[in-house]
Amino acid sequence: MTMGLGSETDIAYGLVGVGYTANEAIVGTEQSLSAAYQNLPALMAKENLIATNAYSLWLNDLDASSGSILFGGIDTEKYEGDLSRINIIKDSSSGTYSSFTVYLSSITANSSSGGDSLTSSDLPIPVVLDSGTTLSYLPTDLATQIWDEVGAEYYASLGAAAIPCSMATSTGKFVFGFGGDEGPKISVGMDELVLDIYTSGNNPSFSSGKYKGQEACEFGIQNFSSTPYLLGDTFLRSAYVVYDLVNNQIALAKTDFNATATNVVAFESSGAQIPSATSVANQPTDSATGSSSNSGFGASAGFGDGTSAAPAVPRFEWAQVGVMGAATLFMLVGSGFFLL
Amino acid sequence: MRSVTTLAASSLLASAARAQVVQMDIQRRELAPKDKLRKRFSTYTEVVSNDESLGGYFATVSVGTPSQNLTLQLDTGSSDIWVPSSSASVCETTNSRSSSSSGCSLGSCKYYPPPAGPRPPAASRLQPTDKLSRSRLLLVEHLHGRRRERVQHIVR
Repeated sequence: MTMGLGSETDIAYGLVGVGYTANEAIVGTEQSLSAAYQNLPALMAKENLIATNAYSLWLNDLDASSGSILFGGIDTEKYEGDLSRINIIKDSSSGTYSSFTVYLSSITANSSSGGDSLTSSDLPIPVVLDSGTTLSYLPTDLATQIWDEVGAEYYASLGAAAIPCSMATSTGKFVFGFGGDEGPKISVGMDELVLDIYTSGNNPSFSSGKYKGQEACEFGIQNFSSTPYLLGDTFLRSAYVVYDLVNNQIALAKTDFNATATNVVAFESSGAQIPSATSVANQPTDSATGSSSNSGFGASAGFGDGTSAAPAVPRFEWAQVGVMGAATLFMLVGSGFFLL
Repeated sequence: MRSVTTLAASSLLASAARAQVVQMDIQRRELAPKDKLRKRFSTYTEVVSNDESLGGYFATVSVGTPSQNLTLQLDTGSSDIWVPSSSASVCETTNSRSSSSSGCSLGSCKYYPPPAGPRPPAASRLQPTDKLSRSRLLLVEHLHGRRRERVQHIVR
């Protein structure tokens, strides 16, 4: 087994990278795909420990102490409904499969007060399904729409969007659609998107603004200004994900949180398709073909349900500028400074 | 084809007469039911622990000879296994020899007292066959007060 030794590093733990061999460091260093070696899952398949280079990831929920990775098979007891398989997208610059990038086609905010299908000219977005990233990172346009739905705000002092911790019990959720309209849709609840800032000890409190005095948590969706956009653990926990590195497909289904039963189905041969997974028609082939329209934030009020927080300040809606008087407008810009 | 048969028979007899042996092996091929012959591939499950303070999922693996138990983050976003050298500067600054502080307490990065006798250099302890001279930029998460640093960094 080939592995690397980090003689200079700023993190004190190592990694087990299980991605495409084309993404190995040596390939980048030597600028040559032929420099790639057989990494862990590739070697397992080559040595016939498993039939084919494919594995399934079940992270379970935020409060669970563990999840599992299943090399060479799927476990039908760890997800609900059916697996749908969608295409992995090649890296545009190298023309090879090097990362687990798929098209995120839609994001819908759902709550007791309504459902908003968020629109953006960035959709469909290529996103990497990356277990090595804690949070999820979307284009700023979409991220800010999501923040507006839940009342999260970006704080420069934190370098991240924050939200009252009380929002963890909100009954609202976001549904992520992949691979076009007919592709798999994964629902992510607010309990997966509100994270402690300090995992031991107390979280800081908002020192000013509309949340002054409330315990502050980190929001699970942040913004990036450019690719790669990442769906990290805050998204992946809600999905059962099967990575097929031979057919270059990923299958997704809603995870079965805290499932205790198991039913492992092995891949039967090299190059076998993901078992029990339906294919998806009409998958997108390009990114950023969408358009922006004013979808409104009808679901926003309902995100307060289930929480003990004070009702959210009404959103500043551009569509209503001409209708509402200035006196009833509330600015959204927050500039709280944390007591850290 | 009687003539051919005769020819074949006579040539056999001729060779036997000369005490040469022509051996023809035959093998019995058993046609077993398909199920019995189909290889059953295994699957392998690795449990990964949710470490919220470090913001990721970790697998405990045994590495090297003599073996060391290390806890490594499971990363679908990269493709190499790598471990920090015990001589990496981050280990020197965060390690307090009690091994109870910071990320080094996971066992990925420990101080090893020199064994008696010649000590192999740190790099050869794990006998890597591939030296990383540069790695993919790793995006890790940084928040004030959070143990896990989120900065862009390069692993050398």
